[in-house]
Amino acid sequence: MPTKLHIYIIFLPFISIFLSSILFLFFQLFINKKYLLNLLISFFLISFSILFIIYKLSPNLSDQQIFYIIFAYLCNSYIFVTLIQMPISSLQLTLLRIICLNPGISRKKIIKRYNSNHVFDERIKRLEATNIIYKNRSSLFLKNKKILLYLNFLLILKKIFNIKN
Amino acid sequence: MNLININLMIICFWLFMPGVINHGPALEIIHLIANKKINKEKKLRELFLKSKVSRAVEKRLNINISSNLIKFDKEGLFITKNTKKMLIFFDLIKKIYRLKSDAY
Repeated sequence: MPTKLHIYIIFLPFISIFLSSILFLFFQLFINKKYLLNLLISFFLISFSILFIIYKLSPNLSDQQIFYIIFAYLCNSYIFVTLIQMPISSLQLTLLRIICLNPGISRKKIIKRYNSNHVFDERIKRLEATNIIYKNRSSLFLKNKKILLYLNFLLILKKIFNIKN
Repeated sequence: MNLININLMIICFWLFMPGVINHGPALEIIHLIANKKINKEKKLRELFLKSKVSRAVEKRLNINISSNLIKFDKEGLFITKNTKKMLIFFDLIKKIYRLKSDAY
């Protein structure tokens, strides 16, 4: 029979991500900074509180339960970040929006209106605005090298799972 | 308890993988700058347009059609009722969290 502690453990990652989303909303409403920074701050604050809870409960927790809490929280955070990113930069949603605004539009017209050149310009603008890259004359350089951690993490995962993009 | 934990972990991992499989155009640009050492914007655009990511718009359009998010008619393309609901949901997220989209 699952005890109260077991039920807390199962729901802890989900409650944590809910709290993280509330915290992110609070930052977005009352602290006028970049959304990515708000997202990261809310994620790390909740991560530290989870680690604190794990530390306090550690005599009663097995290694497997600790792994579950951390892994499920990380996965949920990833899902939440993706959910926030989708309305901002998802190509699929942008295409759906174009069709929603122009019902009956042809395939050719969509490609003409929103093509890879357009996507390239948009992404360069956003990467510049978020201080990830900077422009010097006609050259582009990386400003924030922390993004490489994420890129390399994805590349390693792709190699592990043999995914070719 | 162990079974529930393992199953929840599998669900979380299953939701996590699509993001790994589809790396987007922004990461491709960073990859070209950082790992391929291409800094000239013109050259960067050229390589970006040659890469597989450059076909992302057409690929996403095909995914939208194959997953029945778009109806294909003689007159052109239309979104389905469910897609409309999905767009409303994402617009709601955008409004609640005060997010600004890149385009449209």
